[in-house]
Amino acid sequence: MNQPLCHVVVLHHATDSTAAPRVRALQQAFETTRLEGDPSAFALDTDPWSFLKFAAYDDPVTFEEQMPGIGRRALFIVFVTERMADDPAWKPSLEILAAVLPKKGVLGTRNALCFASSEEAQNRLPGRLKERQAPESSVLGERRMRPHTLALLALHRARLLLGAAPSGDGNKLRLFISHSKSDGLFLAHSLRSLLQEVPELEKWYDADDIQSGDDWSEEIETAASTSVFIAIRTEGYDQSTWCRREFETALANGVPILVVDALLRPTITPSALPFAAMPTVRIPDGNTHRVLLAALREHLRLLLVETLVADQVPASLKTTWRVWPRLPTLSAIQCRSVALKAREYWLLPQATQLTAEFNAARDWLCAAQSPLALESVDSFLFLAPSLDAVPPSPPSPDTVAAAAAASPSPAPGSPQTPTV
Amino acid sequence: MNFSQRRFAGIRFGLSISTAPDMPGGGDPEQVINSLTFRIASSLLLEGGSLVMGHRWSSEGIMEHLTFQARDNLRFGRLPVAAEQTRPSPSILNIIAWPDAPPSEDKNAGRMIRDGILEIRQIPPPGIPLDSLGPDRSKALATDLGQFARIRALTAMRREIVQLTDARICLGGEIGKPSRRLPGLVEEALFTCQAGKPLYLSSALGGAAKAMTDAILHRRLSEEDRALFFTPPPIVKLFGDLSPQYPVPPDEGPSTADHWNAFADFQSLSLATLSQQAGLSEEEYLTLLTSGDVQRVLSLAMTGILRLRTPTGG
Repeated sequence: MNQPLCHVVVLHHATDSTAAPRVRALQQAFETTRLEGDPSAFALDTDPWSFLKFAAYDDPVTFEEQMPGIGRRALFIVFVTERMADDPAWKPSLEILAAVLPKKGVLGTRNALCFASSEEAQNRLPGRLKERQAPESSVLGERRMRPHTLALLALHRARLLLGAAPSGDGNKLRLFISHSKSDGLFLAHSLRSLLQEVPELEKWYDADDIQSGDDWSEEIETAASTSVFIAIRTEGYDQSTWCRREFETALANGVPILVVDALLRPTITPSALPFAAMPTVRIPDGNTHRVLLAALREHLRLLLVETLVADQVPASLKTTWRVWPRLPTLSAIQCRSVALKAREYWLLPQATQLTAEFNAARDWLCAAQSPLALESVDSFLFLAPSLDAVPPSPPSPDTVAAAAAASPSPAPGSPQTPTV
Repeated sequence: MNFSQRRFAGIRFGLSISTAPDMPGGGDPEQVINSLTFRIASSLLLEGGSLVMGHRWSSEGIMEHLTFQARDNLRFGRLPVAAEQTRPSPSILNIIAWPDAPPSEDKNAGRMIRDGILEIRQIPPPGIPLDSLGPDRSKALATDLGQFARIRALTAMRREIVQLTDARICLGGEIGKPSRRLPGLVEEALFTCQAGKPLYLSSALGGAAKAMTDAILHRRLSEEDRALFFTPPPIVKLFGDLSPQYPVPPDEGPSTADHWNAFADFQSLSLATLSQQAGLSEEEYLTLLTSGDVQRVLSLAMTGILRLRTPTGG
């Protein structure tokens, strides 16, 4: 059992019948399930999701027992009814919770989403919980869709909690909707509208975000390289120069990518873009919530790996490193390796099936004497006292500082493969 | 890329989407339906289309949500004034049947009406003086005359909706509510076909829409599904009892005492005609009817509508 990096804790009163669908939606968002057709899925025991723990409590005694085990990164989601606010059994729990939260406006690594069922319930909450209360109706939109909107908001908040990741403020990356105007516009419009429904979530959508007079090309490239990238794959996507360029930019910058399979024809024609290597989601029931859910989960998964690495690399090493969600493209390697002055490690959190490409890329960097080092992180990430030191083989558990990210496929197997 | 023109400017859409008992997949069916309705509606609104809806307004419900969406979309894409002028006003036309009444107390509804985004029209029961129904609507509905009035108002509402719309998307639909002439989805689809307007009918969510698809394709139907096309006996009796006093025109709608056979109506629809009216090839229309993939169905519907808009297929 891995030590959780992040806790998501839901609290509600046992008599609150409205909590069940919300808890269910949150559980679906955070539980360890693989994306259907995800080629970069991890083995279950080392899946980054196993470093996130979700729990829902309707009993204050159990919550208080578990509270000391809740780590420094935690998101609390509280559904307060008048009955809960009046219940003496819940009072200490709510006060404990209020005490661990930072001041309003400060994100911190412990945060809360607090929804009171009425003004009376809100007024009875202790200090910092009261500050965080928001009327659910004004925050989460249409009544029936609220549990799923809440799940998206909670995933977003969980991203923000993983502040230790090197991407820093980038944790709240916008969602870039890449689509072909010829046949992907309607789905793109739907996603745009849905994104606007989720509080705090930011999107990048060309029709909204490019101002007249802007350099389109530059704007799109900047956005694609700094966003979670959602590619709506339609028949027209491959044919569009703009779409290809957006996709390649995202690929070269190592941002999380999610492909939405919206192909009309049942047969798939070969594509120059590596769709098959990307996490893919289909929405045969037309439920666009699932697209956003998958995109945020993909980003959160990468952030969990980054956080895990960040927690293990001593700051004194002053090492520059970066985790890639997939094998960097050759153009990304070439561009960056030339620009670098100091040594930088790029970590690949899973050994992909592209062993030959990986070895070729690493050999190329070696031959070019690049300050960039591409490292395969096999089943586990080994962190020695110095990144230049190689731990004894096989490493004993005592010398291993941490474990992260795994591969469903065998390790690259090259004897020269350095272990970080 | 050019945002100077919204593709559905000036087109009014009708959406017949509701839960079905045999809906595939898990989760909360109401959530899936509201999410899907929101998804389709928001896309159509963004492209300049407008909606004619028969849903009852409720606070924090789907209608309120769609009007917020329509309001927010007015600023989308920074369209030039000339293009904006082609936008029909209001963006959402809400047609409701007696005894449902406009939400006079609802602040959001009032604001949307004042801003020209929403218009609500109430359809009275045809040929029945409201005085004879009494002032208390809930009490009126408990009487035979009240039920008779409600059923006729619903049919009249659906005729009005179909008359005001240019195209209809039809998915899902309840089965087994024997309190009206025909299920709402069936009536709306039938009137749309009779009016020669594009109907994008899909069996992807099961329910009444699947039964209609099966009827069109001359497939075998279960007794329960077949019953959807015939007025339930208690309603036939109700019409038989009250039509001497409040005559029902023979062409008003199905379920009059002479047993309008809606099943035969659907069986007589040809794929060639339906596909032509929808701007699709016969093969495409067959895919639309039978595909279990809602995403695919919507893509086909949008393709058809765009082809009708630009007859050259561009």
